[in-house]
Amino acid sequence: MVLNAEYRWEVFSGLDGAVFADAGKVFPRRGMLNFRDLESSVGFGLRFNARNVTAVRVDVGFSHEGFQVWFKFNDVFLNRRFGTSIGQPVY
Amino acid sequence: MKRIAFFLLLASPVPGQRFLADDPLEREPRPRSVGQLLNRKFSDYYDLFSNQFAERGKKQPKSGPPVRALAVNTLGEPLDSSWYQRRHYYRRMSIEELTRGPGQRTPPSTAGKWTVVAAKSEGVTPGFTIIDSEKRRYFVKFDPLTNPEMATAADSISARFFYALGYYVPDNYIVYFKPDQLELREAVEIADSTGKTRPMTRDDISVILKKVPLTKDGSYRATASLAVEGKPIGPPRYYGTRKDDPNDVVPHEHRRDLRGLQVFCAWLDHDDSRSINNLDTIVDIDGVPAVRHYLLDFGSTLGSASFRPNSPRSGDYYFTWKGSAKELFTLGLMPPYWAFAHYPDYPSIGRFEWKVFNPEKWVPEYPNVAFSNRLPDDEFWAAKQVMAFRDDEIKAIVGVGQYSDPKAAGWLEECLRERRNKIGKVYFAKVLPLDRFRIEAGGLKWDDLAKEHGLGGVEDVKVNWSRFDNKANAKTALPAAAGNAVPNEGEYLAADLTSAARPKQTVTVYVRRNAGAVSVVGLDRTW
Repeated sequence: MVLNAEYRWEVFSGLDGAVFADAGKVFPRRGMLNFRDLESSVGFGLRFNARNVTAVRVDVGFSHEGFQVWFKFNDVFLNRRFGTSIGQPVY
Repeated sequence: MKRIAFFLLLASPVPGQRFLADDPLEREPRPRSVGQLLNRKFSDYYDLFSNQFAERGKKQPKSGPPVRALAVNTLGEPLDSSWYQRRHYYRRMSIEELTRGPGQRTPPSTAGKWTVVAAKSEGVTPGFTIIDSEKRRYFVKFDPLTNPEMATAADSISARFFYALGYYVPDNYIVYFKPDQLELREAVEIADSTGKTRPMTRDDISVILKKVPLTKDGSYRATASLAVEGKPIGPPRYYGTRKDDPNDVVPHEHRRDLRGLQVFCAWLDHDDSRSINNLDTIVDIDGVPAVRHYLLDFGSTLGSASFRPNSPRSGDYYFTWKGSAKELFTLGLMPPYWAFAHYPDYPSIGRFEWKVFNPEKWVPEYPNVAFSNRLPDDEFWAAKQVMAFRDDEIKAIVGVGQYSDPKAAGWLEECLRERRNKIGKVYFAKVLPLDRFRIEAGGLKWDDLAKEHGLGGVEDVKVNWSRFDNKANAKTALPAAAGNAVPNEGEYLAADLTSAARPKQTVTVYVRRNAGAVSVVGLDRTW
């Protein structure tokens, strides 16, 4: 289970800034499907757009395990402001 | 040789001399023959990046006196030339002339089939090139599926406005046709998505037509743009000159007709006013081959971006260092002015509004040195032409767009009226808005354009006369002469017009007495 929340704004035409918070967990049994004991991270990033579609994004995420830099060639929300990330590639 | 030198000496002005016998000129002299110029291709991306990140043309100096506009006569008016013709402001055009535009009412003939001779199926704007039964060539462009009527209306309406404003534009028509109107010429090639060409088939026409809206009666609506006169030689730039054109001697960034174009583009929201949307052609001018300069593509005006509604950020550059840094570090919590605009839902208009529009802040998509070099007198020159369009004339020109939704047409008219009024209010305040200077009954007369358009007018204009030494370009005050009456002193006189309400703004009008007749020969504005 992954929850993503992202605030995004336009820096200039073709580039958006973003700050985000993620939470999620992996669980072996259906009974553990709840919001307890989630792992979380926060971060910021840039989204390079072409014709309102994110072509490249660079994210820097921080958690208690340290930080990681991600380069991705898709949009977290499949170009929707609000919604689920069903269909997204598994990280 | 000695004789030639002697005549050259006779013909040349005395150093410092301000006016020549034939001033003020109304049109450029007969051009020199350009012969055969080669077609010059121009990369759209190169234009974008070079104007965005490099210095193109000569910018206004950061200190010292600014470079006043060139390619003007002694009255500060652009000459009738291959760039510009004085039209609606100078000689009021009738409604019929305004709605007709540059053409002679020559839409593609429906007496026979339209032969498709080229097509573009890929890219954002599919279209055809056709030849009608009268052997005329047209470029056929469509609306996007999401916004029927939007781009075709914008293309036709703006062409009329830019024509009336003085520019050379193509002859655009809105046409409706059914697929059987089209026939395919043999051996036409079409490029696929990879750029590879192959023979075009009838199916390709169907594929293109599937990408564009269908009207209720099963026909397609399009803009048919008549190919402009002459041999194309590529787009003109907004800076420098074309070195192989002997008539192109004024750096484009200093031409008044290009500096002032910014105001017209702001009015009509022509943020796509880039080089590639213009075209030079070689035509016959006064019997010699010379270059004429056209503005071409108006599908991205009046709220349209051709293939979609215009971006909400229209009127701002794609990128600025300062603006981008501000947005980045404030997390977008200090949005730019355009972000406050609200657009009514008119798919046939796209995004066009007037409440947030600010003529001073409006800029095209990326920097244009001719636009950014403009000075208050360039803006005044443009604003007086924008203000010359009456409400009924705007309504008539909007009618050319053939909107099926009267509310959409009404909104466009409202926007054009209100944007026009904002332009007049802003730019008539930056210089004394006095124009059309003339001598009547022995006195100097003028029109106060601000007063004429209900924007307040200039209070208590004072006139102070000087004798003007044309050879030395120097004034000697005539303290006894005041008021509008032209003093009976010397060949040249200068009248300084001032208003206590606007102490920095002056107009100096130069008057010449010649064989008993007195006429206005020159004009200077300060601000």
